[in-house]
Amino acid sequence: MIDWKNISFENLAGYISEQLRQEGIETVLVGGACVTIYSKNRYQSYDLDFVTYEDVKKVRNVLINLGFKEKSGCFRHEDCPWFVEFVSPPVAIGNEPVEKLNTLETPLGMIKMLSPTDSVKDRLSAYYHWDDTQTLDQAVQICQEQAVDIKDVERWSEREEMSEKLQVFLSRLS
Amino acid sequence: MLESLFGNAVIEKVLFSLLINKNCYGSELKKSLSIPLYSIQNALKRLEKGGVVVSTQKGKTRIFQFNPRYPFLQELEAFLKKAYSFLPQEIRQKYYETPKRTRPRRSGKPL
Repeated sequence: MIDWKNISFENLAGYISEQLRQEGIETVLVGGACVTIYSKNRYQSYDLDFVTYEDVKKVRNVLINLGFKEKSGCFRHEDCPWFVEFVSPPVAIGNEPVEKLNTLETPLGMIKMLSPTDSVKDRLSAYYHWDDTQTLDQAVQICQEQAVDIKDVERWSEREEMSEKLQVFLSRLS
Repeated sequence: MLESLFGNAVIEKVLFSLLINKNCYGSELKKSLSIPLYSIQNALKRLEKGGVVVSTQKGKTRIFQFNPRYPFLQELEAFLKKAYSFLPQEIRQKYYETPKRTRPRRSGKPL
C-alpha cells in the first residue's frame, strides 16, 4: 500500500517507472526531477517529467488505475504533493540525442534517468537559451554532489556555440 | 502545401509565421492569417505540447516562439524555409510579410 501523503520524490519516481514498466512502458526521467535527486534535495522540483515513446493513452490508463487524475496534461494524486507529466520525445540535450542513461534503484522500483552529466547539460541549455539563472544554479548544485564529466560539458557547450556562457558556469565551480 | 504532413493547414501557417516573424501571439495570428482564434490556439497548444514551440506570458499576452532546445529545430527551419520559398509572392505578403509598426507609440495617442 502506497503512503501517498508521505512518499518521497525519489520513491514516487521509482514507483511510477516500475508500474509503467510492468505494463510494457519504458520511461526516462528528465528535467528538474533529476536535479532534485542528484542534488540530494538541495533543489526541490515538484513535478516528475518523464519521456516515453509509447502511446500516451496507454500511459494515461496506467496512471488512472493508480489513482491519478489528469488535468491539462498533468497527473496528480489527491494525497500526493508531487505531480507527474509526460513530455514529448526524443530524449535529447540540445542537438544531441542522449545515448547513455543512468539507472537508480529505489525501494519501489528502478528509475531510468539522465546521467548527472546530461542533467547538467539539460539545465545549462535553459540557462544558455533563456538566461535562466535558476537553472545555472541547479547545474552547479549537481556538480557539487555528483561526479560530472566537465570535459563533455565543455565539448557540448562549444557545439551549441555557447562558449561565453560556459565560462560563467565554470567560474561558479571554482 | 504541407497540410498532408502536418495534419492541418493551420499548423503550416503558424509555423511559417514563426519562421518569418520569430515570435507571435494568438490574436495577432488570428488577424494576419484570418483564421479563428480557437483554431490558432489549438495549433499553438499542439506545437507546445510537442516541444516545437515555447511560450512566455507578457502582461496578458502569451508570446510564442520556436523552442531553441527542440532537437530538430535546425532541420525544421531549413525545411520550412525551402517550403516558404515555393509560396507565391502575393501569399507571402498577404499573410506573413505584412508590414507591421515596430516603432514605439505613445500610450493614449489617437490612431
